[in-house]
Amino acid sequence: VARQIVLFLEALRLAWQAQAVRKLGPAEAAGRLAPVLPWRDLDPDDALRATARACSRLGRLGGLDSCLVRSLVFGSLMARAGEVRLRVGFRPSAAGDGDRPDGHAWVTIDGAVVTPVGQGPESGFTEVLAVPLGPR
Amino acid sequence: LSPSDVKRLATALRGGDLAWARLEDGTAVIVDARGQNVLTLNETGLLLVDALRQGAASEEDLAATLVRSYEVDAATAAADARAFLERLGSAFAGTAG
Repeated sequence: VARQIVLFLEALRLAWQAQAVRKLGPAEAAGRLAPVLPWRDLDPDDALRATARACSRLGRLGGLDSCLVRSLVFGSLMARAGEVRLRVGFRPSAAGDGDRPDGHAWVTIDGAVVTPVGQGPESGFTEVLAVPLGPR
Repeated sequence: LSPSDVKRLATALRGGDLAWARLEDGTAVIVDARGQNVLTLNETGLLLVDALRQGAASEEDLAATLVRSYEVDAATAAADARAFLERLGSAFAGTAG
């Protein structure tokens, strides 16, 4: 339980830092995220849960809670799990012709999508940008 | 845009400072390497991006591409090429080339 609480607080801190994405964009914001604790052997499901709770909590307080923020937080927590990449992609707008395309962000570890099913490239998003996350 | 601005954008497209991808519906998006600015392109815009990546270096080069690819007169092509470059330059003003 103590580990879950610490993980949540770490995710909350990262989610706060990730708010910088609004001004800096994902690449520069990613460069500023740094987990305080060396989360080795972290279960991706635990990291996803902590990320969802932290981002949701911050969102209720007026912060930005988006797939991009969640991906930044989750990817940073998992930064030591392998080659972690934040991926940003787009697909044609579901709203109709001429509209701005839908954007989405997801995370891969060693090339495999680790964000929940239905929220990655399998949903028709074409990857445009990949940003490394992890120890620099 | 000045010729040096056009050259800078073309270099950015070739070198990866501007990433782009074609979407399933034939449109495309361009994103700067920071992921901060996004520009949507229709098929004509994508044609011009391809031309820039393949060596077009001026508004005139792009207009010539349009004349070759579509049945448009030179004046219309020049205006379209200029509008495209202004849109591209406006979206990615600070992108290194």
